Order: sequence, then structure tokens, then C-alpha cells
Amino acid sequence: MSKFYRTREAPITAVDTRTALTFLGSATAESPSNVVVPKGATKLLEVRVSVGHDFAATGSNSFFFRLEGDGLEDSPVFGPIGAFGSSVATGIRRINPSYRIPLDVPVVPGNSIAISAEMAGVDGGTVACGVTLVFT
Amino acid sequence: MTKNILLEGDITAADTFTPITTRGSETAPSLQIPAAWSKLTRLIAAVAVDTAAAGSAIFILRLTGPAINGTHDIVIGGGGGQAVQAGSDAPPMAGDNQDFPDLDIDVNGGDVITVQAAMTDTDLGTARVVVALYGE
Repeated sequence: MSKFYRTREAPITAVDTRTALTFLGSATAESPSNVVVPKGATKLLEVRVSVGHDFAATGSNSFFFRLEGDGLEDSPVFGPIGAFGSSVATGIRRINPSYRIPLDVPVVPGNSIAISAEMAGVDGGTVACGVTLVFT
Repeated sequence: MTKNILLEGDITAADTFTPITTRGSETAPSLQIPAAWSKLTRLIAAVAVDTAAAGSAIFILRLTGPAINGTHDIVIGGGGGQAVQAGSDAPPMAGDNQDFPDLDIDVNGGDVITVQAAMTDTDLGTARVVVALYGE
């Protein structure tokens, strides 16, 4: 069975707030848009995650994602995305690779998975967050 | 010898999936998948942005077109920061290669692939994307 790649993203703008990732670039009008488990998929094999941080405020913060819904046989599933810290709020810029988080979670084709993410710690500004679900 | 398809291009607007269609001096390289390929086995991509404007963004690669069954969207990175202040220096934004060694996406050999990339949320300036696709 080949793989299927499904992605959602959204900006996180507040700390300790469950932020739904329902966008995909210009596709915002149909939100909330959860991921539908592709036909033929049996397993959520891995997740690819990344964040883009504007470092608008100093402090340290960490990020994690949450997957839940009837598309997962065992819900919820959590994973880390990364952590950042800064002591100044000028002149910082950074690009972050997408990291692979291996999973092995049975899924239900046709049902949906809601993706959300949170910033914990200090509110560091606006942080773009993207999650790719890889099914097989 | 491993045959592959390499493409590169700019993203100049937010939330817009932009075709990645050039190869340096080759302004219109073939986008045809080799006839012998039945799947994409690996993807290597890199992205960086000039941070002409402050903010945060996620970078997503989209594989679609007649050669692909469906659409696959993959997070390849995130980035952000603040605009450079007049008279100051800013660190370079270096986007390392992101390797997807077990890509495993079915393709129709001989058909054309469409590769697009998007910068979500904030328009950070001009982003550069380079991607190599491997198959068998």
C-alpha cells in the first residue's frame, strides 16, 4: 500500500490555547476542515511537523500537536513539535525543518481526524504551525 | 545511476500554491515522469526566505497532476522572524535539505507531474524552493 499525505496549518496566536489546524494555504473558506482518512488507509504511519516563529516577544515556549476524532481507533494522540527561547525581540529570524515523528496508529477510512496545536510557556508572538499526516 | 527530477522556483505571495517549474538555466524542463516509474520513492527539498517582512509561515509542497493519484501536501518547513532594522545585520536563513527517504507515492509513468509550493499565513518576502524527486 502506498502512502497518502494530508496537511493542515494555521497560526497559533495565544499561549495555552487549543488552536485548530484547519487551513491549507488559500483554502480557509471551508474551515473547520478536519482530515478525512483516505480510502484504503489502515494506519497513521508518521507525522511531519514544523513551526515558523516570529519571535515578537521574548521568553521561552514549547509546541505540541494533538490528534483526535473518530478517524483514529485510539484517540487522542499527542506529539512534540519543538521549543524556542529568546532574550531579545529584534533581528531574530530562523527557518525550521519539518521533523518526522513515527507513529503506528490504526485508522478508520472515511472518518475524520481533528488536528490542533498549542503553544505552552510564554506567549512568544504569532507562530505558524503545519502538520502532515502520513497514512498507509 | 539514479534518475531523478529536480525543480526549483520562487514563492512570492502568501497562501498561494505556486508552480515550481524551472531548473536554473532550464526555464521549461520536462515535467514528465519516466515511463518506467510506478512510484515516487524519495523526495529531498529545501526552502528559505529572505524575510523581507516580519511574521511567520509554514512551507508546504504539493504534488499533483495527471501523474499522481490525488493530491499530496507535505510540510517541508516553517520560518519567520523580524525585518532587519536599518544599519543592522541579520543572520542568514539557511534552509537545510529535508529528506523524505520513504516517500512511497504511486505515479503513472509517462504522465506529467505538477509540483507546487506555498508559504502560508504571512508573506515573508521571496521564498526559494528546490526539490528533487526520485522514483522507480
